[in-house]
Amino acid sequence: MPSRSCRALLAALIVGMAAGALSAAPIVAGFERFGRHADKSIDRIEGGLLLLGELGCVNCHQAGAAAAHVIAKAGPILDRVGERIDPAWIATYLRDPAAARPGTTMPHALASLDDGARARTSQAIAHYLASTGEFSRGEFPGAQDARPRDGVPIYDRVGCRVCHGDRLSSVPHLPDQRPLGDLAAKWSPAALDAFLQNPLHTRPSSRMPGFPLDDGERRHLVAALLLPESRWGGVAEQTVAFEAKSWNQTFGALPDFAALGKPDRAGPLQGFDVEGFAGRTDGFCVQLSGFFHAPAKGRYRFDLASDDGSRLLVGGATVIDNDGVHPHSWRSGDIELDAGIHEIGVEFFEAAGQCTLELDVAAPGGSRESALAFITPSRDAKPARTSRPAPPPFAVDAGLAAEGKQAFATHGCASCHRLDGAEPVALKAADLSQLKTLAGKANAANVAGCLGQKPAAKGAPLYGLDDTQREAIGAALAFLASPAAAEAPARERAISRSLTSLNCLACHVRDGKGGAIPAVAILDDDGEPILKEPARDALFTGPIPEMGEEGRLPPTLDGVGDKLRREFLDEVLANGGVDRRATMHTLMPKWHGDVAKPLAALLADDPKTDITIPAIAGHAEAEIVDKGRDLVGSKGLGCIKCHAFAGDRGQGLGAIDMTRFPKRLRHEWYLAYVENPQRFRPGTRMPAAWPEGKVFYPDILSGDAGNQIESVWRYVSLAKPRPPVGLGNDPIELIATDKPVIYRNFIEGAGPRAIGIGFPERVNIAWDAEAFRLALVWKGSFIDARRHWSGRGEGFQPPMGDAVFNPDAGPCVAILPALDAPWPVENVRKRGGRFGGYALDGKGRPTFRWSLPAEKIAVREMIGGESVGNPLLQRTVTVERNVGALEGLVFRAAVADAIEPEPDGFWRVAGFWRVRVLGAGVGPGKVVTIDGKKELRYSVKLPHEAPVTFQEELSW
Amino acid sequence: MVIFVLGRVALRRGGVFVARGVLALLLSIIGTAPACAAEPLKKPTEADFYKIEQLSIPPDAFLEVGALEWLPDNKIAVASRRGEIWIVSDPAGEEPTWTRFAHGLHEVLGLAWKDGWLYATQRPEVSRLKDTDGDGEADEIETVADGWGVSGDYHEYAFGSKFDAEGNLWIVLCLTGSFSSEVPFRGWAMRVTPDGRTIPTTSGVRSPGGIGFDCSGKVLYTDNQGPWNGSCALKELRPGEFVGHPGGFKWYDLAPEMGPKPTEPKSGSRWAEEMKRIPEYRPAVVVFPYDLVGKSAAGVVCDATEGKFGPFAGQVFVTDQSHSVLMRCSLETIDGIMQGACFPFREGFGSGSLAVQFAPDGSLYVGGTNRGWGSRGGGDYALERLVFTGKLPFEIRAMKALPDGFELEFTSPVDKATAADVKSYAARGFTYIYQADYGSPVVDEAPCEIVRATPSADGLKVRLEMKNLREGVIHELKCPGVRSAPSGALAAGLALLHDTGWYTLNRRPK
Repeated sequence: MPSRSCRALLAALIVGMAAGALSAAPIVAGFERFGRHADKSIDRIEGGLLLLGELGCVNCHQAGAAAAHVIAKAGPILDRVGERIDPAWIATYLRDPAAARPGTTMPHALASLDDGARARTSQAIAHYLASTGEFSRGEFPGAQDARPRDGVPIYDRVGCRVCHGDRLSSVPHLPDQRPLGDLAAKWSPAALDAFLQNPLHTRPSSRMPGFPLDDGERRHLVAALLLPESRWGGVAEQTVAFEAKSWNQTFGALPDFAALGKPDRAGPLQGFDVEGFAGRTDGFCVQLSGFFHAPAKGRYRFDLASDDGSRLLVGGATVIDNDGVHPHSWRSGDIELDAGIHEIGVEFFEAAGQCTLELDVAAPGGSRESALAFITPSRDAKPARTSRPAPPPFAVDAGLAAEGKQAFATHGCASCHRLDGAEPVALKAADLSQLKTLAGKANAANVAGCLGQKPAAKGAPLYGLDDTQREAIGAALAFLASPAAAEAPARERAISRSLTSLNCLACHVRDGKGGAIPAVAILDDDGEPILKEPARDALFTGPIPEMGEEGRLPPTLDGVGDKLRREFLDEVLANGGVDRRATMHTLMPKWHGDVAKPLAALLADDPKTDITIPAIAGHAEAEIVDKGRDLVGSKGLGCIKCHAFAGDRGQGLGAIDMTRFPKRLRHEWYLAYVENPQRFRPGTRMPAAWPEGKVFYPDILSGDAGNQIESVWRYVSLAKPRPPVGLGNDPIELIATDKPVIYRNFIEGAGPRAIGIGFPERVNIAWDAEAFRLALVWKGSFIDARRHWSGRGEGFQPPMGDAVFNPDAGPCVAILPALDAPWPVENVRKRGGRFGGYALDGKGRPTFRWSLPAEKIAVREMIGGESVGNPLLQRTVTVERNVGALEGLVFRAAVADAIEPEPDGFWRVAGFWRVRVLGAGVGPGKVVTIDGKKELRYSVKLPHEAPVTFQEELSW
Repeated sequence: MVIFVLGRVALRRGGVFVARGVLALLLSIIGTAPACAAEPLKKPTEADFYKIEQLSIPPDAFLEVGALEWLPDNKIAVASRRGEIWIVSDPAGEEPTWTRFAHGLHEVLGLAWKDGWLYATQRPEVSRLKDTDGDGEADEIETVADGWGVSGDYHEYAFGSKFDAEGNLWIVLCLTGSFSSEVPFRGWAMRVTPDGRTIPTTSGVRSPGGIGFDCSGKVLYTDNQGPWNGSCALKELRPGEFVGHPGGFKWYDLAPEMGPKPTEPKSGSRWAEEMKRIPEYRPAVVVFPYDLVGKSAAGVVCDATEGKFGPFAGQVFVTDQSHSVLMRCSLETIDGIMQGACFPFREGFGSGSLAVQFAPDGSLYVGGTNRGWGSRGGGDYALERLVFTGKLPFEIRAMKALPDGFELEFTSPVDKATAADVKSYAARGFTYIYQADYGSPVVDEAPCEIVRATPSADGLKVRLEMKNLREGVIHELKCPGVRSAPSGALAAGLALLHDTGWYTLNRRPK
């Protein structure tokens, strides 16, 4: 496979390393990264010892001296493997393991057989393994909720991609990544889901550790790994599944489509690109019709998402109602269908803002995927997704299975794989330290045996090693035969070997090796800085850019046994890590006790920071924890501005929960770290709150830095610490007393340049200074300023009260050729509009000023009025034009689906608010219909060189 | 000088970085090496020379100070992040009066007074305010300039300056978040002209903390550690130039007067390298070493008090929000490029120090907030006055680059024996990576051997000859061994109040 070596070369070049991988050679991550590529930070002997373990050499050979130097790795446990793995895949795999799974460390056990015998034996073993359970291609529980699209970021972020490379690529991007191979051919969805719940169950050697994903995350991941992308992304989006009609009309809910009349557009729709189809982004509705091809009889579950409203009809019946103005939101429904073709329809409307539409389906017993592939625009067309006939169940041939059981024993499979009922194999091959004669020859291409390049001597497996790997194994064998091998490895060496074989170093750094080496000051021989490897660096991401590398790169393992309590070290290795979930995408996985316990024991012996724990003499315990609480809170050192506390992220970034400190950290390490964080983590954002022992609160605990640091520890160690000051935020309701209260900020519905005014009469407005419009009017409470006045103040704040409506869709006046001409829609700023600010009268009521210099008009809108309360709100509009009289000035009072006249001169808008306009020069109100919406308009006479003023009254 | 050679060898070893600890240890040995003259009984503290006085804030003002401006008639205007402006009459007197002049503004981070109008820089605009009916409250809030976008991201702050000599206001606009610019001119400095035009002036801004001028009128602002900013820094703004973060480059299309878009900087490089590649790029005037002197640079002000504020007339002072301190900068221009040194000056402010403003009496008003970003000063907010006590501190007044070292200028004559001893000093150089990632660790660290120290005849200056001066590098100079000579009220044998300065060497004088 020359192409693989080319690509491996390319991959190696990407990270700036020399290439050397050969085709079909097993990929042992630690060897590829540290023994072959990178800085050769492990020597040939160490590389060889690593291979002797990872390739399972000590599973057949007596270890002898190697026992102290080689970390063994068993193959997967095969008990009931027939339930999990497709027997057809097993047969293919056994015929040539490296072809089916490039980089596999399983040797070619049948290499010494001729082609015919190899084919038969691999079939026989597959039948034998299939006899251990019944394989079914069944879905996993919850498959109908699994969204492959949501599984992609999980694969990319939690750590899968670090070891396996890109999800869709069969070629590793880094030489130490081993691609996943054809998972869909190998696993049933249910089995892969069960495997990922606890890989250690069948793989106690933990080279594939278990990730602490919740059920939803794991299901999304399984769906992303198994479902071809064409069924949920890419190709599905190109599919033409529906005939569509669109109407350029604005609605607040799904209209009666039958009553809409002639559509503005009609034709086939690509994917769900309704915006492209309608040719606009706001103010339209579409009706889609097509034919759903149900592959089988059963209950179909549909999921429909949209922004704004939508409805799904199958066979004329409403299956999902997702109506109303709302952000992108999913709703589901199901329906019993016979196999065959059913009419399907989707109705959708878009009022304003974001626009989305998606439809998924899960066929009976199937997982969730895009519905587009099941739908065609005409009855006769063929759907993209044809139902595959279910493969016949694998029939185990008893004779072949018996033959396979025999072959399983003969070929030594049981040396690596545990399997109930299979004959265990006693170690029979030669002691590794007796193989030193091979050491010299190992390089020779014609060696026949495990190490050779050719099919091995009878019965021996073939590993497909390349020269570098052979050389390393040769060096290791020579070492094992030497007197030096009698000495047990030093602690650091033993740690290094464990971290390398378990591939902890894929994510973590220890002793300058591994991880995505952060950009520390590494200078090369010429004094030039070496920067981190960019390809690897990009594998690690975090949700909070402000956290820098600490919010992205898994923590260093240097001094980890000093930092972490032994109990926590054991716990995090056994259960995985959860403490960094809020601030880092990569997850710490869990490891089997057989490998984790020895490693934890080694790490726990790291030299310990020695520091005396302050007794805090002369202060009662109650005072000490109170002072600790003061220091943690926002009126003290403000630790909670970054750290979470007792599960509450508060105003913070979500950095590690302070109440987890005592469970995680050694008390002494904590004291030393807080005293000088930079000493332990150069470049950390954790500030030195007591720089060089300096105290900023001299009145607290005798003004002693040690006492204060200790008091924080004791406080966070309490079983139920009282929350620190500033953790939670109370609402800050702004209330107008005698004068209006103004709130200029990001207000939902009125934009980022909103000016909110709360009047003493408990009516409120938000004026949009970006678009020059009275954007919102509401009653009752004005606004809660907590969002913007605590923490960093992110996001938009909606009104606090109720009965909210939008009087202006844009500037309230325009110059039009006719009263019923379309209102200018172009952004008023792009038209040269200028916002002039506002003035406040003696009662604090605002007059907003804006102008359109190009149109030579200046407008003032005084809001409040003398009789605030009854009617509730009055707007006095003054329009000025300095150059002559003006024809065509129009005031627009409302835009809505319904505007009805009332007997008292008011108009009722959208069924609930009322408006009228009074003033000399103002014509009678007239309702015009534009783009399906009703608009209440008034023509206004502008006299020569004098402003015109008129009043609008709003009541509701 | 065996120590330095060892240090160098350790540093230059390829592969794993092992030298940091070793070097730090060596430096600490050097630091304690000089034989000390007898210390006076009581070590002077910052408070002996500059005292902090709290102003009592009315309980109904939640005064997260965002901006300050001195007004006629002995009044100061104080703007808050919650959108209020208070006017305090006779703020240093026995009974100052507080009046709420305006409320409901959008996070005011700039105040300037001109012709009876108070100009306030809010997030979305510059407005000018006036009380026309004399009730003490502004009733005209007139929009002067709003030629930039706001998307609704909290990061999009706008800091405004005072008026420059031509009557312009300078506005620095924070990016949308740390990395990008979603609406026009985020990540730019703008000028608002007296006739109301808003002119895109300088690109490359990331996350400013304040803007001001040096005493000659050069425009300076602070930018903070993050992408393309290895540490916080004081930077100079000049029309047509680029100051480091390319996140706002797309708006060159809307700013024809700026000419074509500059070359994109290369991530992972050094600023000295990128200066050669990008003609428009102006490096920081002073880089504040992260966490050594501050970690959130903010307000900028120059000392034009002509001595009322002590011996640092003409220098620039910068607040640090996180450390709640005031830092001091001595600046100079070499080959047309500003650079200089920073020194710790005064710590212990009550909240996260942000806004600064000198009063006519020579005291310095400092306003603070720690909302959203923690500070050593624990108050939610603070308004304080820093007053020179009249007692002369023994300080390094200025640090100036020489072709072969630095010249130190002191506030009072040095003891020539200690000042001439090279063991009284320790120096090293280091820098930060110029990169798209957030911040940077310290890199390229190497010691600088001090070859000779020559005090001037009057003892007010010392000329240090030094090895390994590098452009694009921050030179840290510690003077733990230097002692004072007796002079006036100043006793002999005093150590420097602050013995360390950090000089950002952009250009080494020829």
